[in-house]
Amino acid sequence: MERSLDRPQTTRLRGWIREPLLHFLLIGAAFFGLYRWLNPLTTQPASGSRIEVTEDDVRQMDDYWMGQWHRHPSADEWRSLIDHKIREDILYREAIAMGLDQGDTIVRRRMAQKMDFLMEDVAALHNPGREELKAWFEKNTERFAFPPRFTFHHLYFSPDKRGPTTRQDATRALGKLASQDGGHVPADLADPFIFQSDYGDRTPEQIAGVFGGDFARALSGLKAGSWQGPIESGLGWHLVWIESVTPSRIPAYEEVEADVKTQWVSDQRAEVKRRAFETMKSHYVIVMPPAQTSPPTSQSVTLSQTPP
Amino acid sequence: MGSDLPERKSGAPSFVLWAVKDPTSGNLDRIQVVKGWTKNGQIFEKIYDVVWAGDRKVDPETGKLEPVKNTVNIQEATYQNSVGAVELNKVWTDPDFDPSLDAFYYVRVLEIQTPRWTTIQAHQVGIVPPTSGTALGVPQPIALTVQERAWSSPIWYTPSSDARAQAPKGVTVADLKAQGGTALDDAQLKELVVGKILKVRDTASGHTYEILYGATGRRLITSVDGKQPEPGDPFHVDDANSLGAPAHYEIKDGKIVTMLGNVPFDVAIYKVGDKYVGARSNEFGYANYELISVTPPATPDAGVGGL
Repeated sequence: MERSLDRPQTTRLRGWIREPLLHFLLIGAAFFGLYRWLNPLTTQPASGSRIEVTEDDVRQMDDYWMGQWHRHPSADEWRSLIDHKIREDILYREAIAMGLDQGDTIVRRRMAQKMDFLMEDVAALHNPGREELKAWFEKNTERFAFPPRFTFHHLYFSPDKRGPTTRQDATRALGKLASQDGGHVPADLADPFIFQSDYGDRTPEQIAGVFGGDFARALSGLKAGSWQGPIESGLGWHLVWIESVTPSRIPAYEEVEADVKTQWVSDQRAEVKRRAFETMKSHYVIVMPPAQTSPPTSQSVTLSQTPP
Repeated sequence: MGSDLPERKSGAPSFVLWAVKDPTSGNLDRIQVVKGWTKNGQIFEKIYDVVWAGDRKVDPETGKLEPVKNTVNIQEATYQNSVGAVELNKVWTDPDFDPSLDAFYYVRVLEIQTPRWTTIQAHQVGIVPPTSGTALGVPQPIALTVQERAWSSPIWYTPSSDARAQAPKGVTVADLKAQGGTALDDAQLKELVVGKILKVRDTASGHTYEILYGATGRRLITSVDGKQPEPGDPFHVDDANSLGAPAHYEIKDGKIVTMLGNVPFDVAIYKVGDKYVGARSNEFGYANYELISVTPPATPDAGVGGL
């Protein structure tokens, strides 16, 4: 039964299959398909003409709103949020379709930045063992050095009040102090200082913030336990009495363990990223303009600067 | 940052001003207070020199403080902290306080002159510092030195509703119309102003202006309070650019239309009885300009004829 019904169809099919026109059409269609696959239509919207606002989108919008305003959006606000999202979606797709993302510095920078974040994510880091961290710390101790700390008080000689004789006045005052006993400071020997007269346990960086870098550097050359100076700061002249100096030192591993781990992780992350990038870079051939034999002229250096 | 002054019925507010120099930078030249206020739809701004370094005087003619001595060595791109002060302070009381006007105050502290970054970089690469920016498309000349500055957040003063109610009311266009005033049409405007000098009193600021409306569509402020106007003098913020420099004007749709820094503003003139009052389009419905007199411009011939 089946065979007898089947037979005429099979013969007709065989006839079709031998038809050269069909071959021609099939080959043509294959070429066309291949062409389209290789050259997708650029004017077609990136992901069709359907815009779907999903449950997740809604939740995200709600969360964002809550984060900013600490309440849920009202009906009107919902409408405008959704309108805004749809508008952005449409404009985004149209812009992509028009190729507006091509050659745009900001888009390029953003994409590169995203890729950079991605590389950070894939940076599969193992949890370092204590021994490994300790060994790494031994190799990098200078990165963990504690700065020296100074405890001092000072007498201030104000150039606003004394003008060009400020320094001499300070020197004379130092002489007076030397003849006093027990570090007693006569009243109105010096001028009132804008900030503090006593500073305890300050790092050179902190001292530089108040007095300027030169003053902070000058302190490290001073003896403790006597009036020294005069030393110039960014604010005037000073006589300084150093109470104590805690010298700079390399801490023991146990003191900075947490810090070591943080630094190790950030080092490793940078290293993994660097390697990932090197791999990517190896796929590219980079062509540079002919090597510049002379540096740009000083004139063009100046002119190409923009105000800070 | 910043703050609001409490409401006050009378008595000017006082401010404690205190500035200390950056230990790694130039000394201080002066502390200034910048005050802004509004009156009858106009915006005003004034800079007060409050306290300054050294023994300098305010010129009684110009009201300007003598500039601090410039210690910059252009060639070396250096400066000396031999002038200026480490610290400046003063209690300042607003000498022009009016409890009925909205106002703001902020403080500005100027350093002494120091080399501009262009001067410093020019020294580093061993060339003459640039003074003209035309090659870079910068129209202004490039300064060799600058006075760096720091400024505070503003302090705002908002009058109470009582204080506002007690303030003398400015005249508005609505008031003029209620008094039976009518706006001049184009023909009447032309007749009144073209080829004439209009002497006008600004009732908000109290200043008197003489404005020449030329026959060829040029408008020129020829005097302010009877004196030659100084370009850039902030008598009136909106007019700062136009003082002493002619601007184009035309009469259309019952208005005198003038361009000020590419922004057009209109003046309508209303006749109330035998008086004329002008209202500017950017002063929120106030009619602040009383016409004092209209005179033809003095021609050179008039003087010669007298001889």
